[in-house]
Amino acid sequence: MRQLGLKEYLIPGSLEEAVRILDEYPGNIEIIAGGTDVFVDEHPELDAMLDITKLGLDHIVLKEGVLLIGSCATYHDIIKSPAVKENFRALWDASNVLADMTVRNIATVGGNICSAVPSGDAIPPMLACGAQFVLASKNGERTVRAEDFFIGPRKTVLNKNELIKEFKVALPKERFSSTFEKVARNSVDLANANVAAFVSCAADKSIGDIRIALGAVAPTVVRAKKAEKLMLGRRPDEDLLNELCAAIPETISPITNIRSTKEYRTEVTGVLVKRAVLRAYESAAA
Amino acid sequence: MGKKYTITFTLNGAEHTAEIEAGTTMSTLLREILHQTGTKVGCDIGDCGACTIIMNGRAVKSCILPAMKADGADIVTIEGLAGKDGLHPLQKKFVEYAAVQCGYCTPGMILAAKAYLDENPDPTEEEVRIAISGNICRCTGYVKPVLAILSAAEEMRGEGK
Repeated sequence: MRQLGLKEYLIPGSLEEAVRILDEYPGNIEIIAGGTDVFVDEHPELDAMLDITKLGLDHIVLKEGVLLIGSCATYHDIIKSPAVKENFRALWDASNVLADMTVRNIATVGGNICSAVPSGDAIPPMLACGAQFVLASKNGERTVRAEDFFIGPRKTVLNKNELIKEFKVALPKERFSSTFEKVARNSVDLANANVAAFVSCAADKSIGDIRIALGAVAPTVVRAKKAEKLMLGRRPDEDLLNELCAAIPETISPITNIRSTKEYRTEVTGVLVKRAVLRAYESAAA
Repeated sequence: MGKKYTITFTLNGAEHTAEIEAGTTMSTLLREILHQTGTKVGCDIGDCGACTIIMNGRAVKSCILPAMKADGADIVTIEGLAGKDGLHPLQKKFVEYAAVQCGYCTPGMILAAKAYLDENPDPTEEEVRIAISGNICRCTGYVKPVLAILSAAEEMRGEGK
């Protein structure tokens, strides 16, 4: 919908210009990338929007064992990227089930991250795979771990004069894989629950490292650290996975809302964890 | 009111210049400023997809697209599909397969299909359904539109008729 009160729409051509504007603009200015979560509401409080899609931040590059994804890479770009499909499968999986085709064609990973909604599909993959966020401002750059970035629903540690430049995912030397699972009312809805799992295997195919991130069931995406500890050094079987499932409810605090109930969310999160861990393990151990 | 901006873009192959405001949407630019009303507005909040157009080769919802993003862009709307030889295969097949009932979702759905087929000319039925996942239809139940798109894809590949 049109933004009636918006006074200016700025499109800087360089990162330097963008961070300077963010710092100096004498009014209420907010970043817009794809815009699929911006023009859906009115924003009477905003004076201006800063469009960051012309800064060349849409790269997807594998460099010296680190996958670099620009904050303005769209889900369309992610889905078309063999580098992401092979090395950051959880994000690739999530990109295929996030919103719908016309949203994915223009929406950016950075936008989903900065919106910081509890159900954001790009968020659990970031936590599960140990991603780091590179933030830029006129003072330079700083790096924040994914799990330190989110404070609460729609709240992050991003300062008013900062933007996310790129995401960095270091690839382990051991065999590894990651997965993403989501349940929703229909194919284009927000998640009722979503889960990302990362597994790396030791030489004997036991689990060397594991990270499980749970979304839409707490104010921010949370790690299932107790469940992770149960899995270390083990080879998953039905009994172990059921134990894993039982360790989940105390980690989360789902709510009942228009999309689902807290009882269903509690139940289904355990199921998604089992599926995600099993799939990630089988892929890593193969 | 917002600052006025002058933007230049290609619309259905022809260059255009328009004066817009900071908060103008692409759907408003098309319908109210350029009087191209083939693009429909259903929900105006980016859910139904009736407003779908093609920008730089990708199907996007124009009601949540800042018109400012059109500057320097290549835009295709439903008005740009038919050529001197008549209707586009997608349009012909939608008629042939009775994939149009009220017609309100149709321009958007056809454009979503066209953008997808331009990238993937030989899709499975599942892929077609995903291609139009952003286009809600109250009337048809999607069966005829999906068949029409698969048939049009065949013709566009030079295989069917």
